[in-house]
Amino acid sequence: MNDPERLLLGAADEHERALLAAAIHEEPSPLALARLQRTLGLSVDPAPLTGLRRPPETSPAALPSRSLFASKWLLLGSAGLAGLAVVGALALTRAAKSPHPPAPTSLGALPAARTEAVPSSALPSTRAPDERADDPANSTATPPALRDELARLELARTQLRSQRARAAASALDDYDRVYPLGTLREEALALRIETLFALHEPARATELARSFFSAYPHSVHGTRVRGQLEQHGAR
Amino acid sequence: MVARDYRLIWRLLRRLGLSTASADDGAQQVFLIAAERLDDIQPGKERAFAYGTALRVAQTTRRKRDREPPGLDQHEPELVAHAPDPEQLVSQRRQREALDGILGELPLELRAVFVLFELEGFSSPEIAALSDLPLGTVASRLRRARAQFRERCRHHGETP
Repeated sequence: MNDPERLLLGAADEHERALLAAAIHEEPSPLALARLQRTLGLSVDPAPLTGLRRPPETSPAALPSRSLFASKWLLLGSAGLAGLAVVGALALTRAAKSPHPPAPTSLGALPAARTEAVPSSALPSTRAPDERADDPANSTATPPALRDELARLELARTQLRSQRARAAASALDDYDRVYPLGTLREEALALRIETLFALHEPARATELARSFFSAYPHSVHGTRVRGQLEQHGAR
Repeated sequence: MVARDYRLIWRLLRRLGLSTASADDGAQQVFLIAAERLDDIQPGKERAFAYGTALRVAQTTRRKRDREPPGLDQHEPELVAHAPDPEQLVSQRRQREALDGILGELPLELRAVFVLFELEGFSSPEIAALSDLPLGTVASRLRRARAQFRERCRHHGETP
């Protein structure tokens, strides 16, 4: 039984997409997670709470330097994941092996969650490492990379809609570096074409559009790309 | 388990209608219950346990909230340090509120399947395993949830 196409990936209209995308960006506070970890008797290193999540496809050398603006956005989409991944690594006593680097920005200004900690005496003091978390059979242990791809493209789309084409291009550069063979490459290319037009680079946009139609002749984004070409008088 | 599933559970609780503060509390509750009952949870069923507990926590919290007069819990604080800019922040917040309003009109069992599929990237078989439902039931719920969501979106779009 095949799953239907996800609304965010093209089956939605603009209104539906905007509503769903707004929820994609929302992340839990790393501090709330840290509080829970402490409540459960697990030691929490505050440094990882500021770490950016590194998707599995990314090597340390591939982590690009980013503008402050892009960093903030990536932080928004990734901070919660970073807290989860790194604090989780601590919980599994594998902190030494963690590939997560320190983050360029601080979350010190985050408001504290209102959660009241349960007395630790009422709870187990420590948890045994959960070896199943590393079991390849449990591949869903890592939050799906698709969500990360979606968030990055949604960021670019949001920038583009807000007439911040340079920021959109930067977000797409990040996406390309992290996901050179991403599941959403087709969508990324369509967005890149729109962005190039917004940056007043019609020649590059048109050239990329040709490559796009050559690679994806039946793309669901084809109508949008054709609309862009017509709108800008390109063929 | 906490490291792996906290984010999922928190986001699920949010889309099931809890405020950020309540989602913080609810997620904590879910994992504290799981910690207390860890010995009873079948290996490999930890996430399913957390998911089922989250649904119950969401229901309980919403029922409790509905009985109480509107208070601070209704107010959503913003993560100012994460804000890209005020306009985007306001826009995203409004869209999230609109989304939650629409999702809030869906029955819980449809809403949960919708959120897992559309927002969390789960496949139907994964949802079936997580919720201990037949695949056909998941597919049916997803179909109904999407239809109802789109119908309500149309109304929402027509009514500014």
